Amino acid sequence: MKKFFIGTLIAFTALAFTSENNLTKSLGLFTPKEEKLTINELDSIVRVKVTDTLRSCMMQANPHLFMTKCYAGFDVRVKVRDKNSGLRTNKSLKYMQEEEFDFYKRSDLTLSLFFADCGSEDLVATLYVNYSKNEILVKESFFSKTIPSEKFIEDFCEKYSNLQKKHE
Amino acid sequence: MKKLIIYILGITVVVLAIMLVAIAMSYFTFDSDYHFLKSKQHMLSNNIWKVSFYTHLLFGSIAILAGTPLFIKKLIRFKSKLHKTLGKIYIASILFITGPTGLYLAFYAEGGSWASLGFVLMSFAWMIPTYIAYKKIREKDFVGHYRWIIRSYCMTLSGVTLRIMTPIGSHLIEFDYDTNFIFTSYACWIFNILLGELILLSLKKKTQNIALLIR
Repeated sequence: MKKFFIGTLIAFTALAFTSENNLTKSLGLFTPKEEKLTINELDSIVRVKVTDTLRSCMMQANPHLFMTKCYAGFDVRVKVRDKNSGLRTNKSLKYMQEEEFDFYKRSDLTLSLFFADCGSEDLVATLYVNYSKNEILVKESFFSKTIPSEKFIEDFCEKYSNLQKKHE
Repeated sequence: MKKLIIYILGITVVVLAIMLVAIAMSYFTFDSDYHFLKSKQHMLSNNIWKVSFYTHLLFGSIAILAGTPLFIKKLIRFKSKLHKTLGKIYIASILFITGPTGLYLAFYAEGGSWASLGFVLMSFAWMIPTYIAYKKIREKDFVGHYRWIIRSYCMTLSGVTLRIMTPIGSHLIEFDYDTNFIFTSYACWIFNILLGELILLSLKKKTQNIALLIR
């Protein structure tokens, strides 16, 4: 009984170390330095998997959308912990310095995707990015489910094009 | 008056235990976006985590359902076969399934390494009294068994305390997300350990009577 119990404990503890957990994260066991994620890498995966496709389908449905005299475009923000105050703030990837960007390729990142249109700004969705898995999951709002980015784009483009057709 | 208080407390414990089982069972729709799983989206691709999570819920509920009636003397006699069978189910599900899966899940807890440490300690604080209670009954030390199984059951109900402490931390004390998880990962079981000791102090005389009753 005792041996079986201790064996079970050891087995489950060992299992916890087969993938990255809170402890290995703080000890840096699963995240060697060469695996650090750069801002450019994150930017490119978000572009390829989400924003570029969204942009092109929106342009297709409404060619004048990005031709306004005022700014229109996507803004991706990431939550970072301020090293001085310890508070979490949402920072735009565009204005982020590499030294304050402390993420790894294996880590799961939560990003907010905003759409700015002539001064008004809307939260489009929350993105869950895992760079090593080449995967982005998307959650649009409180009531919606978390879905893969491909499915989100498909739905979004369809809804947007239907909306433009109604306007016409 | 004392009897009435014990009666009310007993009913409260049974109701809370059933509520905890109901909460656990509500996850068995396997909806990946349900409640706590919303914060664990990044873990859902990890099959070991997923299996451990559902196993922890299922066997945790079994431990509660098997353990709760064992304290109601009028329902199940201490020396009866049913008591022994349910006791075995309670102990085995904690020592071999719910405890170890809880230990595994602790490493992935929300709130970072400090919360993980809290939940790791919690799983040991649950399994150790359960194991001692098992040893005591094997040695036919009935008083020792009764005292340690009360400690074990108090720890089983720390799942209830966890769900009470979470809104206290977030709404009353207004902790931020991570701090609240760290707070609850310690508060829920330390509170129940103290509660267990308090119960044992008040039952000091009764435990001797129980020993006589069993003999």
